[in-house]
Amino acid sequence: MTPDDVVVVGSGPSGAMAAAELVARGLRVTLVDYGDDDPGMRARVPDMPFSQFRRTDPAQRGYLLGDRLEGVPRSGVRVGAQLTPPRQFASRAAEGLLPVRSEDFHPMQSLALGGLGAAWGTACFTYSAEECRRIGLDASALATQYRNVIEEAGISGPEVDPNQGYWWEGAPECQPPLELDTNSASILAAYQRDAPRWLRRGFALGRIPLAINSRPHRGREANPYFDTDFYGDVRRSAYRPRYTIERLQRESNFRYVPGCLALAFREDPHGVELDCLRGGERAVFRARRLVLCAGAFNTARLALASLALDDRVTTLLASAYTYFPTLNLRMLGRPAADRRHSMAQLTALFGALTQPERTCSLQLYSYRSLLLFKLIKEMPLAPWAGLLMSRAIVDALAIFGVFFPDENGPTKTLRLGASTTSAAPDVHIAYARPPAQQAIQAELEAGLRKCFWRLGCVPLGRVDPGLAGSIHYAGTIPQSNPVNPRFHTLADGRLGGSERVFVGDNSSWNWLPCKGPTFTAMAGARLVAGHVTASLGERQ
Amino acid sequence: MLQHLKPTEAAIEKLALAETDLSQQARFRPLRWGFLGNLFLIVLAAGTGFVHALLAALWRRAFVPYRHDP
Repeated sequence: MTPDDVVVVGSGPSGAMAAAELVARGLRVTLVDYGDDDPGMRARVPDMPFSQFRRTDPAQRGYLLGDRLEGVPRSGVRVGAQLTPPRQFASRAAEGLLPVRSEDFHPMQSLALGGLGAAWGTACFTYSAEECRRIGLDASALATQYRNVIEEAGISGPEVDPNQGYWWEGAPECQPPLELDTNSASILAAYQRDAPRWLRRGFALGRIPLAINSRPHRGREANPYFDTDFYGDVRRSAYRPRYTIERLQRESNFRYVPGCLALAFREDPHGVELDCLRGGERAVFRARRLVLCAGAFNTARLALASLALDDRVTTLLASAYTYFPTLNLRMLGRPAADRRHSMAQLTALFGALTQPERTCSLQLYSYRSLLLFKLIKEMPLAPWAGLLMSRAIVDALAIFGVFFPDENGPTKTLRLGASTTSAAPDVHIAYARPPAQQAIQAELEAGLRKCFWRLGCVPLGRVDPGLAGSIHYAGTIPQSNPVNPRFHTLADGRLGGSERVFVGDNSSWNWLPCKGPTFTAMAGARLVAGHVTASLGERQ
Repeated sequence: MLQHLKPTEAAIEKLALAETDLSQQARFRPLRWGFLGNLFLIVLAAGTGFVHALLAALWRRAFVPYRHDP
């Protein structure tokens, strides 16, 4: 059997997009993946509105709480606690097979079909030229690939909005915006009555672009506003990377190989060999090029285990994340419509809007389809009172999730250790944000609290899900590595010290903006795929 | 301190089971009594619920023996 042109590791948003670009360019591609999935659980979620099956389906406990009540959180707020039982496969296999040792940094990793994209919140942001410069991305080349990702994934854009330029460079290929729910519509209306003054305060609020269909696209249906998006992939309206993998499997130059845990690679003058564990046995894949899209931590794990390095250590990036449950006074005692999608309704940027390192981004969720007990769990009240309180505030609850940018440095390190509990080696993470970075975050949060009050949203608390709580990770093999300069990526995505291995995901980023990275990581993966093709000589 | 006032795991599990039981759905429906009505409910629940939770936590600390699971 002749070797493939390219082997791609990982089926997450970056892996799926890199493979799509390579296949479109006529290369023979094998995508190697662990590919955990749970279609049975997903299929149990009824195709009807959340409010309807709550009233009628006696089997709802199975998919709302899980057959072993795995959807009932046992401890305090932690990374991944928000995953509902039909989504828990996204991190299930990785917990055992990709060990991370750390005192206080516990990231969510994935070995699922679709990677963390299987549970992605679908928020999409384009990055400005300044943000691209800091990351190390070519802004003009990225613009073309943004359009390709929009075509592949289907994005419902914000309507014409004076603020959208802060987070979205409009593209005509976008679908019309999704409908807003009652709660968010009232907040947006209040904001728009005095938008210029808000902008002077450094607060830009508007509709959020989402990778959810507002009209049919590529065989996937429009979102029916059932408010079940946290549970199932309702009518495939929200984009998941597995849809791209399914499409590619119909192409003759693509092969998907699930069940593989990638461990290391070796390069020789003719190609690259990837070592995997498959069904308890060693499997080897050979290709002319290798593209690593295994997620920030696992891509670094693979590269650190494979390269000849004096010191197997690197840096990392992780957005700080907190969320503020607030009470939207305009909605208190008023009914909120059941017709809605479950994902973020609005987005905002706050801070020095022209200085991305001093800006945070917000996503606004209204709390309906996550069950009340999850709210009561966080209240320092007797359960009966928590229930009464929850019933009184649920229509008016507006939750602002806040993300902050991150920069790498010597206090943020990832070190490769020995294999202890898995065939994959342990990684040891020490992560601390310097005082200056913490001060900027505290200052922004104080300003945000004032904004919430002015918007008529009373802050009820502040929740910090931990150092890794954002699930926005990157920068483990940056172009400029302050911790291990020899361990780096080149501008075209090639792994430093390598001829045939490329980094396709956002492991190569030098900096992490506050705006969600997934959409840009997908476009970046397609850019790297273009460089991979160029390195082989154009085939078409 | 506030952490100790939050419902126990057993209480949360009981609530979760009740919330997904068709026969108990009415207990979990949103309450819509208008702005002042809901504000009154919130103040009532926060005040009495906090005192109840505080007394329950003190009771547990004083009278419920520590169990060591081997």
